[in-house]
Amino acid sequence: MTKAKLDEVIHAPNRLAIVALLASMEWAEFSFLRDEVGVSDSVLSKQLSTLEAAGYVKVRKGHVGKRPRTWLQLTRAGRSAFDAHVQALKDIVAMADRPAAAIAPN
Amino acid sequence: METTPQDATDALRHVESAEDAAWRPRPVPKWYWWSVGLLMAGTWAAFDIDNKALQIAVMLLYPVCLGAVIGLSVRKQGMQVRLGRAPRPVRRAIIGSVLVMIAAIGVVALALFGIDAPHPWLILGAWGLVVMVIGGPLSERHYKKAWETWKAAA
Repeated sequence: MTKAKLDEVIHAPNRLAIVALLASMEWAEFSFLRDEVGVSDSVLSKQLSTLEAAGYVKVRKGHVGKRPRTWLQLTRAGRSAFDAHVQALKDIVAMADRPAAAIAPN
Repeated sequence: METTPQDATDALRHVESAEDAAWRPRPVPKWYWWSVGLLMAGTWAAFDIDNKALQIAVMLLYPVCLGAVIGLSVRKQGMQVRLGRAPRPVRRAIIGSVLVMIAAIGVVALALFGIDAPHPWLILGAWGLVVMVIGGPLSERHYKKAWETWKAAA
């Protein structure tokens, strides 16, 4: 077991998938995220509320024609938190690999 | 929070598959390439007519119309990617395709004005349309190859 500075908000698998997707995007629509992450509307709403409360995701609601739409965007804080979280994960993997590399034959 | 190396590896795999999904090639509708090409052809055709007011109006309208076409296409995809976060081969493919299309139009423009061809703006507009309609789908194919290469390497 390793103690690392992981972000508890981001670490949950569904939230990690949402944030990782949003990190590659300027913005995404609710339906796009739902389909790509493979969760139901209610699950996605719940996870987004948690991320929004943490200040990691900005939610914008509007209409295209008569249809209501929701657009989502990662905030600057969300991007920094995601990058730091991924780095922490990589550090954990690297630390585990280090002793093995040290004893590996040439 | 305690995380085992196996948990971390699994989480990183989640991140990788999200990146795959973000950059996965998605078909660009044909109307997009036609719209951009026709807009270019129409704008440059206006320069063939000796009317300053028309030329200014067209120059002002062009970015608005182009923005509307791009905006509509992006809205239909349901997201807009962040080029700065693109994996390097994918980013190179996008920038490379744009540069090739600009060069294809630029070289013909230089040749047309160099030889003092009649109605250079009309010819250039038609050439721009050809570049968009043929080059657009080719650039999509190029993108798909770059994405596949990146995935295979990962």
